[in-house]
Amino acid sequence: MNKTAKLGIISAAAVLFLILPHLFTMDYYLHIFVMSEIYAVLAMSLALIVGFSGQVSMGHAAFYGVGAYVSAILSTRLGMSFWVNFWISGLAAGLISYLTGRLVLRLRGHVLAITTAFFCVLVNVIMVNWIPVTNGPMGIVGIPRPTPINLFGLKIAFETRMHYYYLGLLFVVASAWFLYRITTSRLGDNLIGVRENEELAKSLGIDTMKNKVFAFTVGGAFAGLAGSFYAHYILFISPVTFTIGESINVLVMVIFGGMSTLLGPVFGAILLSILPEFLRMAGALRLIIYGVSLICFIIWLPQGVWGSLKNWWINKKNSDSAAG
Amino acid sequence: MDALLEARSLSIHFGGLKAVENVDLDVREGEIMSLIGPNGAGKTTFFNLVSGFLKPTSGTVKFMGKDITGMEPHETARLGLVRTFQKTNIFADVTVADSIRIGFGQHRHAGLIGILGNSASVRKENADVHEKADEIMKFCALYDWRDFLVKNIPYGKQRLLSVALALATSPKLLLLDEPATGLNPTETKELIDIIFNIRNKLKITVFLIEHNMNLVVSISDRLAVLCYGEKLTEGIPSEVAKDPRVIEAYLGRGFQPNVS
Repeated sequence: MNKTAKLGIISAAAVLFLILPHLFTMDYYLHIFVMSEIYAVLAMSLALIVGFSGQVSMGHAAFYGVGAYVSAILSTRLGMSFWVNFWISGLAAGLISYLTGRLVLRLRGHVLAITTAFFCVLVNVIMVNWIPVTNGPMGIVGIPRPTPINLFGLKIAFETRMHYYYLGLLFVVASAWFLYRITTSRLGDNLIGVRENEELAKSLGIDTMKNKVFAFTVGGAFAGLAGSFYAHYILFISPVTFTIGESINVLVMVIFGGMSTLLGPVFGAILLSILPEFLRMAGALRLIIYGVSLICFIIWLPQGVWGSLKNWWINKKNSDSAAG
Repeated sequence: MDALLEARSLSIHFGGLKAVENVDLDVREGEIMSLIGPNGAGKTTFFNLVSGFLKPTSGTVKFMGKDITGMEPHETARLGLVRTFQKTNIFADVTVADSIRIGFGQHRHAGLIGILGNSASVRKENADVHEKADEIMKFCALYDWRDFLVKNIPYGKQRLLSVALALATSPKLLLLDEPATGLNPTETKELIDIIFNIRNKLKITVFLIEHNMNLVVSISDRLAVLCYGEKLTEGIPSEVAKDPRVIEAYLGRGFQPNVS
């Protein structure tokens, strides 16, 4: 693909995402869009852990939850603003995922997946039972919206979903940019080495443990940021949101879109946020259609939608150069 | 010539099995040395001990005068002692060029801030890595395969790729574990040329395990023979090949036509 074509596609996508909320103005649609944005960040950050460093984590909802709870507690108890809480949530989730990573990343494969899954359960149990802090199963209500900001004279009060949509869009683009830089740098190369063959990576002088912990920490931190955004958007959080089911939901988005890419998970997040809504029309058949289509994808496009397109492109380029 | 690698009374026991027992062995700077011995003699175990994949029961390993006994594999690799594997060990799902880039990991130091800002020094580092990767691919006859996924290139090229990966780390001592396994005669010839070039042009000391005796005799300056975990002898190839203990280790005592 040449540079002008790339630039064309990027600007077309930018225009589409900028005018999208004006094409679908119903609150219902806007809500789905904002949730897609949150899932896009969750899926991208999980892709860094699962797709790039190859460590299957089923604990992503735990870090998402930590971010949401830190933000909710700081704002309801201490009256702190979203603009501060957001960063603290990211740091807190990052710190916890660093400590967890140090412990669990010695494990590999299925054992790691099961351990991270139980970590998610553990965090959920804490949310339900540490009532003085988390308010237990009742959850935390009355989380304030982000304090209004003044953007070049334009007052944004976050009273409509449209405002959240644009803030979310900025969040997705900034996260994508951050993760893109990391995955295309030497750090990304190291992670791919760890994923493809840990023994070989070690023999080439790559400190595999350090790199795995790095990916886990950064991934967890972004999940925390997403959690904070979620808390200040929905304005109510409870432990039922941050279950292992949610971890699996995000993991499916990553697999569906294509693990070892960044755009793939975004694509997966958008599609799997919208698809279940469309399938409501099918009534009782909804879950069956959803399940069957997922199985088909995993059998025929194991690298995900985006990953398969990418490989097709590499192969086409090679056969073209062989022919020409 | 100085000893680049010194193993002193190196032993590892797995329960009652003495896989490597009391081995003293030197690899001198600038030579091509081979480690031979019958199957199960402990050759690969010896490599694993030296490169840090296994921790010795007793004994020491020194590399460039520094005690490296019990170091982690990535630490020995950072010092310049890099090994390849007996089985084909590759990064399967990336292109050949990308995979070589992974090998440069320890020589790239770009910080997080520089990476996020894509600073000039980071871009220069990346461009340098690209250039050096191209050189290594040309050196190992892999350049034409650079855009192919590693899993799709021929087996012989995958074997060469593991050598190329090790070279990307700019080692001082390269340990090759049966590099010619499964190669046809043409590919073996190509490999021999590459090993000579590694020593002569890149000035890297080579220490290899190999069963292909033609290859061993034609390229090695010295040989060491392991049998049942112990070192039988070492010396120049023509002498070692005549040593009655070596003949006994490979063919048995006296003449026994039925090797069972």
